[in-house]
Amino acid sequence: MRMKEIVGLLAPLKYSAFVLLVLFLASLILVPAWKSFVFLVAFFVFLILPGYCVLLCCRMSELERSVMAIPVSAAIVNLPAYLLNVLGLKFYPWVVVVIALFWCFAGIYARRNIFIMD
Amino acid sequence: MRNVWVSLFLLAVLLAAGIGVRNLPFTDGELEKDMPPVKTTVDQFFHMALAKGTHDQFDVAHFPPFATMNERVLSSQPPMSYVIPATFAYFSPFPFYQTFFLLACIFLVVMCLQVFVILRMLFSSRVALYAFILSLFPAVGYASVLYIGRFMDVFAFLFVPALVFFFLRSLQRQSLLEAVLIGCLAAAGWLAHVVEVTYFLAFLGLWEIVGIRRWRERWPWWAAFGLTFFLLIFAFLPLFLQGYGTRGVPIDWGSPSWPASYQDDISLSWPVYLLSVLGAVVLLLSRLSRVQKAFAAFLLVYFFILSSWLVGMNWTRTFRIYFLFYPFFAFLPAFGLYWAERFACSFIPKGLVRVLVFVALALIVVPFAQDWGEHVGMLQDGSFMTGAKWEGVRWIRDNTPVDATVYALNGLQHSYMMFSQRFHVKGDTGFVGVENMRTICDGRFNGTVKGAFMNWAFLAEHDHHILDRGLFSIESELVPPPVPTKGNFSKNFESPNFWFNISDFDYVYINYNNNQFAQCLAPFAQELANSKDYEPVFYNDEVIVLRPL
Repeated sequence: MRMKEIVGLLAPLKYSAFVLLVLFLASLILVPAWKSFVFLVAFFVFLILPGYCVLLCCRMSELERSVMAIPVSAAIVNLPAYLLNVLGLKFYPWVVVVIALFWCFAGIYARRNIFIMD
Repeated sequence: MRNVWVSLFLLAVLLAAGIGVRNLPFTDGELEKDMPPVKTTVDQFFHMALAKGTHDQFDVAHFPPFATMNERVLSSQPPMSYVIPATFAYFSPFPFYQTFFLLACIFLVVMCLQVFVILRMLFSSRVALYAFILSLFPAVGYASVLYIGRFMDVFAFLFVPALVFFFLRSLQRQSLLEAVLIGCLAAAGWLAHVVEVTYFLAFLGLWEIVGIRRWRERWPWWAAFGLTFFLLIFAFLPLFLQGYGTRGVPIDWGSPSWPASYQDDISLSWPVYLLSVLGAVVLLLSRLSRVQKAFAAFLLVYFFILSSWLVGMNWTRTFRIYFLFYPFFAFLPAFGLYWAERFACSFIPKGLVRVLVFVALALIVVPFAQDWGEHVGMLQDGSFMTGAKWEGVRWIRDNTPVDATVYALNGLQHSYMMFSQRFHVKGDTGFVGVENMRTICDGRFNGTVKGAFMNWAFLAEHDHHILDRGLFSIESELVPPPVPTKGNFSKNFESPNFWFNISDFDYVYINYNNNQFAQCLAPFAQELANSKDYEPVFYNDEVIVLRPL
């Protein structure tokens, strides 16, 4: 897959990124900049990106995909983490990272190489 | 339109995060520094503390440090509400409490945004916009009371609008992925254990069956696969595997947690009612598409189910579910406002109509702004946790045996007693027990205070030590609390409580000052301290710790 295509798929996320950037600027007067920045990056990576990538396989508008990405991310990252924990694997940070990255790559790969499920 | 939704998204997140930021800074989450978050979160701090335990141990299955009610299996509490902030907090630079609160605030508004998306898909951007505005302001008001423990609703209902969104889409097109996502969202919502979501999912299953029968050609049988499979596997299997509460099997698939909004009074202004009626009338007279009908039916049936359930308990609380689902129920007043605007535009200049719309929106949001102000005042009051109370908690932690049992007189004391890291039990002066307390305060008891009431404490029905709330039962099956007791348990027929002798505990913690029942607790504490049955082992201006002899 070419990088240009991936960038194209993720391009609508610039709106979410813009929102987070403004929030970051607004919070500068209240908290240290690096903390605010890291929080928003974490929010973007773990609570927007996985769901967004999975929803790339659904035919929907940018708005719908960006908004629905948040509850979908919360579900598809934390549900497996919980299930693995019940089966004996604690949800260490690396487990969460692996799950989130898995959905990101799986979503992009499926969109690019398999089909749009609609 | 892009600019519109980007602006809305921006506004929403800013509002949500602004509320969270307003409460900064929390502490680093260390035990010695935990007083500020306790002070801030006030009631139901329990859930936030358990979520922190989950975060600290990378594990939601077991929770050794805080042995509350001898309950060491955490899944008896809503695991998803703990897992989400726990996992996210690993990557957040803020202390856990701060992250938890920010997430709750953001999710609250994301819920409104989801409903905006649904209404935009079903009706029009203008209707969705009005509904978003109408729901966002209650949401902001709601967020302002998050510090008294309204998190549970938020983490559960985060998934519901998305669930409805994909369900409505599945009426129009078939998609295996979306069916699977429905299952994931349903399982996540279910694991948040808020009782209304539980009912909602039952209703959704019914809807699915009807939908498959009705729209079989568009909705293939395998669309049900995702929901059924994931609901069973992800939601129930974990409970089967690790047990539920202190029992070995998941005997209770309902909610151990009442939604906090259940206890709230509703504060709606008359324009909301007026516009809702108008919206309902227009909706009935309109020619709707199949999906629009399905959505309207969803609102009506869901409202009917919850109303029926709540009517059985207390009819005055029926309409409080507005708070639970305000994003959806904001649809009706928004629809009414939209049609009123269209109607007015036919004979009034458009500019004037817009001014009137603005006035109507202002009339609606003013009460919520007032509520917000009151809650902010309470937050800044800071009377909940004081240095003296904190000193008492620390004394218990540092000076009593690890396996000591502690009785705390009411729910709030019980909540922060968690930091004593001792097995502790709460009495309840705030709900069913309030009558007993008032009786004492009014001097209507014959005999001494201790003999009449205080030597016998009770476990209240509403808190986490009751593990067996049936899914379709209002009455709970009560579990004898695992308290080391020499007394007899007896059931109070008027309220489902157990009574036990507080002298069976190793310590009794009484906050006799700076408390809503101070006028009663001070003489009680005095009487216990002077009796030959108890020995005061610690006291300061607000707290006394007694040890039964």
